[in-house]
Amino acid sequence: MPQDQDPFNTASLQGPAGIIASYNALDEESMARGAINWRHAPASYKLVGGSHSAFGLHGPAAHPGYEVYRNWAPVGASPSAGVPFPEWDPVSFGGTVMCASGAGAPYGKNSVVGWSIIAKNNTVATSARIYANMPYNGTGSFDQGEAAIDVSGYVEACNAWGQQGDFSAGSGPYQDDARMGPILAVALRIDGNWYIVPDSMAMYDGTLMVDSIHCRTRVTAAMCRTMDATGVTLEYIALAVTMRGDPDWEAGDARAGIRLGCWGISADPFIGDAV
Amino acid sequence: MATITDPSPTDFATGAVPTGDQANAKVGLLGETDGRLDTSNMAATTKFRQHHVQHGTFTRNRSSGATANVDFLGDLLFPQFSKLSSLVVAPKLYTDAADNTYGIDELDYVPIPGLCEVMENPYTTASRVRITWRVSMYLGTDVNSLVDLTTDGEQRWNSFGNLKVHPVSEGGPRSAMCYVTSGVLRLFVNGVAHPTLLRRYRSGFSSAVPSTDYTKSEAQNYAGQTDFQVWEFSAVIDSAQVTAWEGLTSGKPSPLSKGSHTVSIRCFHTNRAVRFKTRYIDWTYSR
Repeated sequence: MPQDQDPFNTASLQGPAGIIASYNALDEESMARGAINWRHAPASYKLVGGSHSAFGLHGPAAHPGYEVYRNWAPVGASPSAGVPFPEWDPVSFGGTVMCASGAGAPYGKNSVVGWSIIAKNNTVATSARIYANMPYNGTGSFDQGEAAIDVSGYVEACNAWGQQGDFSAGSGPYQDDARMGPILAVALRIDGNWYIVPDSMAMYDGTLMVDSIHCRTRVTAAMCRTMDATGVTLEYIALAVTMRGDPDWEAGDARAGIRLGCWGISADPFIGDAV
Repeated sequence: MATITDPSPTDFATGAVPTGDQANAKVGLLGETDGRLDTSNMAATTKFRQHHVQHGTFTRNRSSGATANVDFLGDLLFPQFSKLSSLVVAPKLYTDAADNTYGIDELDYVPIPGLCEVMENPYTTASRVRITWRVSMYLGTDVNSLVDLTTDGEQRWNSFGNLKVHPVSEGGPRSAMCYVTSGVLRLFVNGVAHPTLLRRYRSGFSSAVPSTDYTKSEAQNYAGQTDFQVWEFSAVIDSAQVTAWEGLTSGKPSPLSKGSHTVSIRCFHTNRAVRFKTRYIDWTYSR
């Protein structure tokens, strides 16, 4: 949104036409997110349709339950397809934490790329994904740092996989592989590619049992630029999960996993002078 | 759109020394172009209407919370469930007395003090309401312990040093269908439970909520599990979510309609006790 001009600064003063042209810069996207500019609002104007939230569950609707999310990365391989974050050494290999093609985005359980977007039965239609469609390539209040989106997410979590013992009296409920627990984070899709937001990561201990895990972050254009400096549009916001494995993870070990149940993700867009 | 004209375009010309009145008039002009609600430049027939103010422009907010401990004792609050040898919580199924199966909507939910608010919506139709909550609690052991508690009193441990709990039965912990549990936290608006915004919890593994008899409530935790849990979330409820919220569209008012609405986080459990500690709930309406 344009800044106010100093009326006493003759160098910046414009005539009415210039002022009007300047304030006409507000676009539909800015208005839909709450900017006041009644002069540009036709009587027929309505908020652009879209959802602010996605809520869901796992398992059949009649018996909401849990689905197992596991990492499938082989041990000791280089970071290529199928070897993602949990053992992706950023010092040695560099690169972003997660970047997968939109077409092949890892939805649902048993991901082979490390991070999974939470989704019932691996389907996009029931995924923890919200449509954003916010450009950040030079126009709009989001681009100019005066709009942002607060994102909140949670999911029920129950640690269990591999060779862990049962939960009967006195037994150990977890095994080494799963001990380090899951990471829940916000994922952004920019121009077809998915990225994990590092500062949204919430890391949990592996001793979760019938518990819930949570994360929240503020999505800004500046954040998007750290993901893709020349990106055009923030397309989707999603909730993603991965499992950390034990450092001595060896071939043949059961994969670390986490069972996820009911979940929710909400986006709260707002306009502010100092995002 | 009304035509904006500067009645004194030369006041600030280079070399001019504007008076205070002239400067104020200029500031006022700039304010109008910035969308300030001023009718001086509007056509005489123009009226300020609701659609001139964009959704999300105005908000109303309030929050409440509590930090004191409050113990929810299963035997007192949910007595009809305390005598069951087992309980199956299977959403969308309805009571079958033979197998102790209760639909999740049939359970007796009790609002948690500090997690209840009245939401006042001043707008004819709010675009959305954001409800934020956070609650932390200690879990107590299950009233449906594998060992008869009436024999052992408050003691959570049998003579073999084993904990007497069954946090997730019915298929065992490895089952993909892990829907049996001992407690539920759930979001309610206007008395209607949200279909999926719920959060289940288990019974405690340790004596986190102590008995009054400490000799029989020793602090042990052989299972390596913490019994301290937290649930927090911000749910943004817009018209699409109201539509998906079963019950709110069949008799109970939408929380986006004008007026007062109730919101609460409620719980049900078969634990001997659950101690709710810090808790907080907040709502923000956006026009």
